[in-house]
Amino acid sequence: MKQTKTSIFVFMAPAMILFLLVFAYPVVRTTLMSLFNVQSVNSAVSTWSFAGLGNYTKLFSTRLFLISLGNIGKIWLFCGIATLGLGLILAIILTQGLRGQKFFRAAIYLPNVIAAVAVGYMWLLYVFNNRFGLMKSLFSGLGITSMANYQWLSAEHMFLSMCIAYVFSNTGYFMLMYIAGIEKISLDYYEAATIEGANVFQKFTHITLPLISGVLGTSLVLWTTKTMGFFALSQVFSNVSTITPMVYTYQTLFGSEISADSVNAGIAASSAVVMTIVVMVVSMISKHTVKDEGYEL
Amino acid sequence: MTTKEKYREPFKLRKELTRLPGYLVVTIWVTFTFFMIGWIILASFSTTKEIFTGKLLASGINLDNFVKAFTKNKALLNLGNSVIYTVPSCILIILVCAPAAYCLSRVRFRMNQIFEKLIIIGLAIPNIMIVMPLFSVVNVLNISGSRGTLIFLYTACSVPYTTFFLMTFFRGISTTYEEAAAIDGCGPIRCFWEIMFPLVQPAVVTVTIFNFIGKWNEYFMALIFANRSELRPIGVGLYQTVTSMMNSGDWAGMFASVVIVFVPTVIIYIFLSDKIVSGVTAGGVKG
Amino acid sequence: MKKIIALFLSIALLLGVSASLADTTIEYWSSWSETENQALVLQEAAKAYEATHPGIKINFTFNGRDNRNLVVSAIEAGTQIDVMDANIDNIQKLWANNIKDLSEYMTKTYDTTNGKAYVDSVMPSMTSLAASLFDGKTMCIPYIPQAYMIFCNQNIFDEVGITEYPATWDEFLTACEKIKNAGYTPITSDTAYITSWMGYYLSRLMGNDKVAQLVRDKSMWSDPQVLEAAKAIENLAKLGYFDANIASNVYPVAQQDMVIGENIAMYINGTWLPNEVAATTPDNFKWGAFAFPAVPNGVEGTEAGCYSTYAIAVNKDASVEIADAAVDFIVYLTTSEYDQKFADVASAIPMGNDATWPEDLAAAKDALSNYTIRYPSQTSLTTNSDSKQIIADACLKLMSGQITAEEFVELASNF
Repeated sequence: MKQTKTSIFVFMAPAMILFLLVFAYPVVRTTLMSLFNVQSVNSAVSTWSFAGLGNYTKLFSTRLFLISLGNIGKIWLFCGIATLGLGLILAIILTQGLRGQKFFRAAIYLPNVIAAVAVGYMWLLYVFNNRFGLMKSLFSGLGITSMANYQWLSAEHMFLSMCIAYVFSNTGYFMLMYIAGIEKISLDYYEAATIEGANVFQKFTHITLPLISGVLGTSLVLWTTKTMGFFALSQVFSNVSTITPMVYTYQTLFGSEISADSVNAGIAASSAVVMTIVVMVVSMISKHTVKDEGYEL
Repeated sequence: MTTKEKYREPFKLRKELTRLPGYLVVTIWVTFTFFMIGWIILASFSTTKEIFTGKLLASGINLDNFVKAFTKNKALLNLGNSVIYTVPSCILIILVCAPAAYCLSRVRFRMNQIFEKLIIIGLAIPNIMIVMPLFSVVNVLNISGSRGTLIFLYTACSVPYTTFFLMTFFRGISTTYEEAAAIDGCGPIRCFWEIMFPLVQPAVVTVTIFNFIGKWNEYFMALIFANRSELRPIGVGLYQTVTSMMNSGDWAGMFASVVIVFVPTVIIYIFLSDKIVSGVTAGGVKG
Repeated sequence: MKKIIALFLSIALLLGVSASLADTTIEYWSSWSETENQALVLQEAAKAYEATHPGIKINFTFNGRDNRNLVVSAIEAGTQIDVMDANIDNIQKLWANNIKDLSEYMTKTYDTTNGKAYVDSVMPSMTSLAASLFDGKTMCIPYIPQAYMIFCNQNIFDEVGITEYPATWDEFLTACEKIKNAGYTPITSDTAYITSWMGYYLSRLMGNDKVAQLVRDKSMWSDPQVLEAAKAIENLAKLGYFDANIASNVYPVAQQDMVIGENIAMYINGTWLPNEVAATTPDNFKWGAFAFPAVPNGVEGTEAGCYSTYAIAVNKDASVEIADAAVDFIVYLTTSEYDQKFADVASAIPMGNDATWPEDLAAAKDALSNYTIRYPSQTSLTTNSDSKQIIADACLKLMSGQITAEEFVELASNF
């Protein structure tokens, strides 16, 4: 359909005006701040002194920040494969017309409805507890003693435990997203395939997958922004192996309750800029590799 | 979604058997979920000591936590505020973002790529860098201190996410719909709302659920921009109760406060998901 | 006619009174959450104060601990905030440019100070701390102090025959040995406080200032004294004094273990600890507390320790009238019966010299009153957020016996 300039304006203007009102000033301010020595996020612009790329060189020579980048990279990759994979599998199962599938969908998304802090402490105090936890009773019930004695919360295993908790609580979100993508596909395709004698896997690889490739690409970008914002769990499972750039930025921006000695808004801003750039690069790559074929439905 | 589920297929053993692995997987997953949520609920009826010794409900059902949580917790009083903030903003978000997502994904125009990049920047920049400067923005716009502030901010801050989410769903739709509408003499705006919008109904429902839960649990912005007691939503009330319970070592009370908020949230969530589905479908032409 | 005049006059009078009632409204932004006991006492105190001081109204905004980050932004965006509270270190770092010098108020007398100057009515270590952070000026008034020291299960100490708190490292080791031989676990910790043993030992040995440099400069870690401290902690691990679970104790498990199992003797924690575990503490549990002992060749002893306080500041742009009223209220808060109420209801340390401390903190009072040198809240080892977590990770490994002292120095200095 031919769109007129007026209709484009009507479609775009409300969103863009709201966007610019709320985002323009903070984004510009943060970007500028990353090039200046700024003590606190509230410091008046008159107290800023130009630092050039100094904040960035300082940031990349801070080992904790590099560790946090490494951590987020691992979380992004491993948890991403697990979360998106499980989300897709569950989405496929729950669009086959199972009895009670509406209930299953709601139940799987349910952990997202509970306050994150309670879920975090539930993992800590119950699931991973090394004396009476769920993992312990599960594995001793199955007779796997080596796993029953596993120290889920020791420093070296904390990262794995946190990842399990993270994957579990995010899968429902991506499952719902994939379900929305699959339900968009017309049933005619599947019926035609069934008549041709295609099995479940053939239907998946030849119909579902190509037709939801756009949704997959979007989910990859949203996964990246979600992991970049990774915060709540890393507060509960606090350890050097679980620190993320978001936690680092928060610490540098706000300090802690007991000490504000290392508050440095300039560094925090440059860390925020780095995080933004990473997400942009990932979204660019995913746009070019996961080609949205534009199948017409 | 609704059309498919209205039709109940007759029970056929062979067909159900091929779905057995699927049943197995989701049943295990859901069982695990219920174990965990069940633990939180049982913990809320136990004493703090029982929580830390792994003997939930050893002394029977303990209602003290709920009595304490109810008297200390103003969260429930804030329930109304939460509805006032989340429902209008969830509707506004769709009214604003769906047209933009449609336009960005299907119409070639000069600024298209720039807008798309801006959306991604908005999506990527950490929240905490946005929130603090918003003090000045709200001040310049002169909208502080009312319920409208938060509705405005919730709506505006969700623009990048919701637009980005919906874009991919619009992309796959056949152009024949638009062409047919044009031949019928239907203008672009009517064509969008009556034909294109209903076609992405599952996506709109899903993103609205995400937005709803996100706003419902939101804490930091609500803390800052609804800073009078009577304006505060449930997220702030809950967060503050949870921290104060933890600081005084009342973990059982903490879980009780979480459960008190969890129950109405789930009810509202279930109620609203149905409303959202029918709201999005209403008046729409089925694809 | 007279009636009408009388009516008119009384209306005018009423209006006049209500106008003066609304005269001074103090906007108070606080670091407590609305339902915390500290906030409840604050609100109660304000109500009582308003009742005896007509014309003054105190409006609270409870922001929880995020208050420290919100106040300045809010002020700059034009919000009226007259009075605000936070941890005193945060006030110094984040609010210094926005608050009023209150020095002149300290030497005045008030209704609740019994004819004495305010500064002579409250805990001297806290008022001197406030002055020391701002070059001798008092920019904020302390309330609800906190200290960080060794807390112990007094019943275990009594049972194994430790009659006096260890004051030197040797005495401390002897005490640990006695505790261990009696079948108890001498020391526990969890991830949140894991730096405390190393932090205190280093501070005693090298002095606080050097530790503060240490966490910012990795080249200083080659100092043999660092290795000496690491060896001392390694020795504790070798002797089996740390809880066997120490490697996987995530907050709040260790502190709950201490009171539920009644098996653990010592834990470095804050004066907030007894309150945090009150729900699970048995009735006959007795809290003891003492300063970290002096160490061999150390430069500082039990006269130094970690303590801090919350404090209340006044906006520098507040009018004289509001500032006067605000300080009068702060003085009321810290010298009236509400100071005692903070102690009774919120297990906080009271400010007034004559107030009674919570029973659980009686021993902590003795340690705190001996302090003349101040360490930051949880020792200087935690003051650089860039190195804190890396050092904490190394401490955990050292204390759980996974690495040697030499490896500790290498690991902890790699930030």
